[in-house]
Amino acid sequence: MFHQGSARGCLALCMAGAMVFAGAGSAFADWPEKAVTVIVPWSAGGGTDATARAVATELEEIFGQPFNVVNRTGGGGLVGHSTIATSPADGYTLGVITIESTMFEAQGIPGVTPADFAYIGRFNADPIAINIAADAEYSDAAGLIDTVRADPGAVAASGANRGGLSHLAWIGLLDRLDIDPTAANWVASDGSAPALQQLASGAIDVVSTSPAEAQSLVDAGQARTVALISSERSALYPDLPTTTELFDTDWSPLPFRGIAAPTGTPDEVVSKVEAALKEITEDSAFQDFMAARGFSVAYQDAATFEQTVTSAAEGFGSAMSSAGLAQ
Amino acid sequence: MRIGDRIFGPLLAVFGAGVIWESTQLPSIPGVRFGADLLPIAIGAVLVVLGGMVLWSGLREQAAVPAEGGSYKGRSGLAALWSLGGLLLGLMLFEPLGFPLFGIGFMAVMMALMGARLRTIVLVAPAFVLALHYLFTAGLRVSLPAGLLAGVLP
Amino acid sequence: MSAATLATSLSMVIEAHVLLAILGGAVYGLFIGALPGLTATMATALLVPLTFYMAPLPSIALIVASTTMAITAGDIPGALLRIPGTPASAAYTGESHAMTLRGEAGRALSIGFFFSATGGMIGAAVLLLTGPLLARVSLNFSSFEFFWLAVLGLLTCALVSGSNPVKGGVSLALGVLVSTVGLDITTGQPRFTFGSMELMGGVSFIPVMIGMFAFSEILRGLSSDGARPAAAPETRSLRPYAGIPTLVLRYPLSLLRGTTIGASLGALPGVGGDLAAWIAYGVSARFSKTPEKFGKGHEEGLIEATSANNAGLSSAWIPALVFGIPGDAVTAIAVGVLYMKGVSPGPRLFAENPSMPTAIILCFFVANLLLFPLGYLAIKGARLVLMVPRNVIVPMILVCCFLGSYAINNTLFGVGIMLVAGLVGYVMERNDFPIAPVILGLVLGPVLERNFIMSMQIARGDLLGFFDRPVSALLGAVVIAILLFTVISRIRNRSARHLRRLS
Repeated sequence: MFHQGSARGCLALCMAGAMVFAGAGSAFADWPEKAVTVIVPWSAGGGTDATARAVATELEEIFGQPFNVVNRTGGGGLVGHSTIATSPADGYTLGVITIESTMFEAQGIPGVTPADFAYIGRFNADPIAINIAADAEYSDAAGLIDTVRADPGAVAASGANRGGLSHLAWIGLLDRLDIDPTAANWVASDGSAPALQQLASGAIDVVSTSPAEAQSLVDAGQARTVALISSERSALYPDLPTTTELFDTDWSPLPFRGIAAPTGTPDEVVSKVEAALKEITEDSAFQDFMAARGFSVAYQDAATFEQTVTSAAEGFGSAMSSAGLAQ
Repeated sequence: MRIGDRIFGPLLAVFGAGVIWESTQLPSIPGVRFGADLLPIAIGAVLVVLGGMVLWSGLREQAAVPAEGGSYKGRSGLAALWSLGGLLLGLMLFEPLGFPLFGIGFMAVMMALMGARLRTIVLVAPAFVLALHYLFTAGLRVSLPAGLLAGVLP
Repeated sequence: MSAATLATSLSMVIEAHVLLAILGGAVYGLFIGALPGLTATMATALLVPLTFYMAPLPSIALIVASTTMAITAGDIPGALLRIPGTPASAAYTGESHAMTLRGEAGRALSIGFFFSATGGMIGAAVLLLTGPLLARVSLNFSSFEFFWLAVLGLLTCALVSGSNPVKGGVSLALGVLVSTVGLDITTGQPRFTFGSMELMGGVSFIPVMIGMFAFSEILRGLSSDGARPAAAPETRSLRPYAGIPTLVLRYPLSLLRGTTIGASLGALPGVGGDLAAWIAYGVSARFSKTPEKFGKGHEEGLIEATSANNAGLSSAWIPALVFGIPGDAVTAIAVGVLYMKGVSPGPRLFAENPSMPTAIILCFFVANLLLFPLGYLAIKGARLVLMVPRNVIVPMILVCCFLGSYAINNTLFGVGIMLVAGLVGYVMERNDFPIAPVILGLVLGPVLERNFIMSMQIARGDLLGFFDRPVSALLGAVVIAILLFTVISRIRNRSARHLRRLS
């Protein structure tokens, strides 16, 4: 049976790891000498989990040690991110962080700030799209925005929890178009799947989520993706206009997935994983996997990634203040 | 621990009132009509009402003195104590000792308290715990702390 | 669906590697499901890396077979040790464990496996015909309808939970209350966390379930009035499936009704799977000729609930396949795997490549068919569990309780939750409060709250919004009718009793 084969393989790896560990010194030159834990702040089966498992599998091949994915879910990513941040910085705990790590601080929720991580590299970033119901009386983003402008409360939008990325992307756009974000009708949902269900059932008007997640519903003729909330077109969806083109705004919130470790993790470890991640993102099998799921591969090295995160945190801080969400 | 409805009812009602009070402390958020406090307050109110109903039915039962029972005596009482205390101890010892050592220790004491023979304990406890350990770590890839045995166990 | 499509799909499924994947997945699922505290979601997530190296259909077959098997096998520790495998099975764990205590473990397990498999097979067969239609209907469900469904679920549960609906209501309310702990998803505010980071993530139902059912049972078994054995070893008949045909003939309606409830509710993303068994159990108790036997190890409710459980499994895949909207973690993983294999779920899949979704439903059929022989072996194996002396099995269960509640999130916090839940469950049961409703409250609490708040946000605070949409109005009317009916019949009973006392 397949699983037994893999279990046996893993057992062998564990044994090998334990033996190496038993006889090695403390220098990080030989890292990793035992199994590495990769914490994922989102539940098994989601996009972050799937990409994390794919990266972990490749890391395992490169380093010859098990990279065990552990899902630490709850609190809109807070619990997992805080677990990564507070784990021992010995190089044996890594984590996949998402854009939510930059948003807790501004909301006044303690436990996670961007300074809590040693950044290793980004492997994915996909813009948020505006999706509308297929039978809406407007057919493009301009028509939608005109309707919102006429009565902001009449257009119900959803896609995530209040203060979640989808929410901030949507109200940030409204804010830049001089529509009062506090008047907008945000229907807080637990992720994009329930929001899309609401859109299809005709209960709400807009879902801001990645184009990949809405794809099946668009194919079914139940929804239409009208624009990307971004300043750049996506290579995966070249025909989708961006809000920057349409409305001449500069709002480009880009959700990312990247690898980080607790602050204080040895530099040797960071640079080893950084190099490995670059190698993985250039691997064609990994690229095929990501493309098949509708995720783009967007590598950034440690320094650039840290910069991206810092500027995202600043951008969200101001978006949240304008929506009255910041504490 | 049988408490009896006459005491349980008021306890529930007080608890429900506490829940309501705690929920009213939640801050309100602009643009949100029904916030985080709605459901807890509703549940608190339900508990107050149901607590009253439990008390009412307790009063109507003709002074039904609850049959005392479920006391813990002798070795079986110690076993009950260990099943709780041992696992509480586990909260502290699980990570430093590691799952194999803690598991074997806990299980051996529990078996002894329940009157298992020494031979059975020595045979079963280590075999069962180690089998579970490998099942989880190697088979299911759940990382369990190896603790003191890290590097000793294969 | 044409006969040609069916033939193509059939030939796809009876390929050796697909059948091998189903068999492998089923054995693996049996193993995971039988271990207390390990979930079907976890089983599925572990399979994902393996599917990287497999063709599309075998990968999906692997997932289908392992979840079907894991969820059914979860009934084994449920019946033998009173540790339910899923929130759905908590609906009937008390019933099947009561049978075990009477020395009828084999019968309880036989009913579980046989009617799960039968329900699952009928459910899959119905899906073959109605799948896309069912998906279209389910897509019309918005937060308004989901809110009423949650109310309906809670109401049925309160009405059927034991002899005292007030105490059942308290248990439900406590469960719902516990579900509000953590960072509130709609507003992003921490509730009842008292500064604890772990509590921010909320209380997951697995450790609560292990604590309330298994741990409290052990505490009670060790007390002096726990004189009755944890499980009666002198089993009347452990011959698997003995006497089942008689049951089919005696309760055909339960089987059909359970299957219908499961298959239709299961297609509703998010709630269906968890609710189906509870509602089926409630309906069974309501329409039974012998409702007084429920909860004491009666077959009828068990038959209806287990068949609903497995019938719902396959229909949960329908919205995921037709519209890419996954209803739970397992289908979310499956959708991911399909994308990865270049098979995009969606209506185009049905139009361009109809043999693929049909083949997936056929995999369900085969996996459920496999439940018969594997269930046979599992029931035989159950004899071994019952033969283990009490002073060995109880320590083993305790270690499993500890490990299972640890492994759910790799944290000792889960163990703490389990211990607290165990003590609370123990005190509740000593005072005649049923514990199964706590689990349903815990699972349905967020569904109730989120859908209410979403609906109110959409309707801009207008409560009449719950009666604006036709299906929502209908469901609302059903809920109100049940409430009125219960209240009126209770008043009538009371005044009848009163009159009798006067005369």
